[in-house]
Amino acid sequence: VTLDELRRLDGAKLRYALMDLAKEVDGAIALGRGDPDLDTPAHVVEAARRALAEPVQSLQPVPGMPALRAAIARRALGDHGLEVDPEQVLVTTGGQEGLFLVISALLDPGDEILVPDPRYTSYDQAIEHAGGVSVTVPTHPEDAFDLRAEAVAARITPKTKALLLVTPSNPTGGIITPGEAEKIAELAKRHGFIVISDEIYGKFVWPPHEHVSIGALPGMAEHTITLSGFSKAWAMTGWRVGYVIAPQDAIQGMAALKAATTGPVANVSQAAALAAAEGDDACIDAFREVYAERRALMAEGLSAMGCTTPTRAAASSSGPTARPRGCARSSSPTCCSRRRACWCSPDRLRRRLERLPAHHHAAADRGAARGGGTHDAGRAALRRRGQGTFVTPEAASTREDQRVIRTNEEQLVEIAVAGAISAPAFARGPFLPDNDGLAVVRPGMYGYVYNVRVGDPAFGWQGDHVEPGASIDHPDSGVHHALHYLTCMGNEAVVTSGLAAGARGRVVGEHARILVDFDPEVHDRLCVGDTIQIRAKGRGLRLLDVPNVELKKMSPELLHAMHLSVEGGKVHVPVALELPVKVMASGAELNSEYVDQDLTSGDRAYMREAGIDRLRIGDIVAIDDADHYWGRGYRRGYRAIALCIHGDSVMTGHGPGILTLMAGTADDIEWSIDPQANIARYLQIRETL
Amino acid sequence: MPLAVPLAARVEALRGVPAAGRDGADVEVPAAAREASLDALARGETHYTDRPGILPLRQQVAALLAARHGVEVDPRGGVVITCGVTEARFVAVQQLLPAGTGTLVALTRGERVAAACVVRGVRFLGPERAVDGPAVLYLTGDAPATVRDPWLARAGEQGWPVVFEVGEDGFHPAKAGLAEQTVTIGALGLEQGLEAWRIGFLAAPSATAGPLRDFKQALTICTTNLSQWGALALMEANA
Repeated sequence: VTLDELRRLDGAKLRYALMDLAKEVDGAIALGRGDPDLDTPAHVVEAARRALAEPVQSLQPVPGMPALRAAIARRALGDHGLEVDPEQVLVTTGGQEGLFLVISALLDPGDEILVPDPRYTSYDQAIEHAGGVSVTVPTHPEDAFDLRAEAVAARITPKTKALLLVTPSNPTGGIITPGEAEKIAELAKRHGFIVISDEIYGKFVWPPHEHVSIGALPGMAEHTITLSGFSKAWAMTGWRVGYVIAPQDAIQGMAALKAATTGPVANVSQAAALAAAEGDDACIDAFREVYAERRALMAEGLSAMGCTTPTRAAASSSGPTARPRGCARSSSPTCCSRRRACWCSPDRLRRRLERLPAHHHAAADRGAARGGGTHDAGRAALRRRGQGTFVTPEAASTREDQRVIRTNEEQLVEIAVAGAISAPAFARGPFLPDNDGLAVVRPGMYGYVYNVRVGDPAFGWQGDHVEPGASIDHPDSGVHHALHYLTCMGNEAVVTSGLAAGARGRVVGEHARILVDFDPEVHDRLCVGDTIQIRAKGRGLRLLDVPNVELKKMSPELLHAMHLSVEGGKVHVPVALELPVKVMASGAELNSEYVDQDLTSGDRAYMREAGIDRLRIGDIVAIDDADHYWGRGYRRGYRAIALCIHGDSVMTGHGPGILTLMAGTADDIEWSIDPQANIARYLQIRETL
Repeated sequence: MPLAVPLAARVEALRGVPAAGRDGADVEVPAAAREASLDALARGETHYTDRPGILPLRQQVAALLAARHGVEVDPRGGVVITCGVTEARFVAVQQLLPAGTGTLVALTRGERVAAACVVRGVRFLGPERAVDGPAVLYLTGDAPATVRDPWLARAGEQGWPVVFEVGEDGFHPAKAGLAEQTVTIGALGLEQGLEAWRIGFLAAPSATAGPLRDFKQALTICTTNLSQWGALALMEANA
């Protein structure tokens, strides 16, 4: 596997490739596989032995052996606090198939599912197969990676069909606390989504913490599907037995799916699982003691190496996988400030690989020469190929340095600029030629658009270049240009004449006019011609720790709202979408300080294939290999962060427009997908998208 | 108490689709398989196996395909052991057909793959139907030559993938020059009493097999450890 090949991989495929690399390294220890090295308990093995010795056997029903379903139903009360009927149990070919069936049974194409991150990347494959959309919910080391209800709430949309709750979490060991479980349960009931509660590691939570099954909370039975299995708690990975607990209609649906996927689980495995389910937990208690000792040893070793671990780590972990909980950096794929050991999620690693330029190879070799630690094996394997490295942070900045975005904003000048709400105007008659040569008339540019706002889709309107909210301008050329060059996104605006005088809004775009959002409550009082004054501030704003990045039309307010982080000399930017540079069209000839650049959206099929048709007005987007320092052109290794400011266009070579917010190179800017990265959220214009 | 949200459309679409497979008649399991699995149990074979399956079993599958059908596959990169032939069919349909837009033409025994097509949201046709555009062929070893040969010729011309479920006779689409575009699937020991052991395989040129293997891993990680050892013993006994 070469570095170039790794760059093209994603999620689980990247994980498999890295595992293959690690196989070639002597002494490498696999920490990525949740396969207990302990033996399956003796009474379970004995039950299997008896089943195998039977000369006559018969195929079991697809939903599972009736006795096993009944035993799981009985155990559900003790393990999960769930009172269920055996008909509410589906026996699956490991927990993995259970997850696949649940996702397939729930998600239609386009449905969104909230997934805590860092996460087990096999979730992604099941979601992708169903056509669902993963919306990641970040968890943080300072919270011991526990999922927070407020983080969930911030990402709920009308398309949210489910939340994937994993407690304890693989790979972080984060758990759901009783208080957060109650809050999330309320969210599920209020917004009408399903909680998929993956509790495969539920036996491995240590006092004073407790395992919480959210399905047992009042009113949650019809909002919860619980997943678990025998692999982890009974060291039975090779037997492939898991189970799903859900309302009966869902179990029937999943059983129909299971008939198509694998059919019933192997007889001998079900017989063994029956013995496990009917036995007591003495064997599990013994496993817990072993894991507790190992966890303490691991924590001690990590501590000696300089890794920080949350205090809660002493009490709770994901057990068999023995992963350290917590790390010193919240946004880094590596955790150890001394760089001797690290963990990373494949997605973050992939992002780093994508951005790893050739000249970092030498630095990688220097890092490998320092040596020592878990991922040094992979690093050395890559280095042997002369291809590259596992990524380590180049900067030795402190944790505080990474969190605080240092700027020069105290030096900025704040000045009033002004314009008036324009009236729609047709420069060359009303007809526009569309991509198929038809002449059409569409509204959208200039004036005041009542029913399109930032956060709304950029595609799908019977309009052209639809500008959200108020479009303001000034007839004097000099004032016009000052209005354009000095106004920054996020600046505050106030109406200074007319019935709406005193109403306040926010600058959310710059097209041929400056675009200002106002609360719909003032719509009826705003008129064409009303004057609007803007407190323009942002010109000259810089990131002190990433000096090569040029900020354009960026107010300090927006900058601080965008959840940026700086690490290793790079600024990390959440974006809603990546736009391929090949679709960037009209406006390339303009300088990047003035108005916008359109996509060319005429190839509708490609827009769908690339997911660009999901673009929303106000989305923050990334464009790789785009140089926006002085103009907006193609240049390899350069990178731009931009804001979608208007809707699609019927005109050839036109489409939704983007305004440059940051110009830099791949060495200066890195990005990750956050579907909620939209100026409407950042400026608190809309609570949900 | 029903679930609070409607299930996905594919679940509703599965209602009325016939399920492949048989219900639980008693069958006698060969002693060789039972004894080998007991030995494996005594050795502690209770953990995940290699994701594509234990290598000796993959080698046996490759040897069987070479001996019976004249097809060469790489046991390391081209063979995946599955949870019964059901999983092999499902994996092949999900990976070879584009979601929502593909077409599968089942020449024989279409009921075996009908549900998998519904899950994938693809068109499912019999051999009597006209096909416009690309398609995937599914056929079993007992497909009549009069039906089979014209469609295989068309698959060869169009470059369509073929999913072939092996039978007892020696025919294989490779004989029509389609070795590179055929995914071969089958059950192991199904007719010899191992139906409840849930063991099957898929085999393909390595470049094709890679994505199939990855999808199988995402679906069930690996196949039941003890079943693999039992099937291996049975194949060795038969060989």
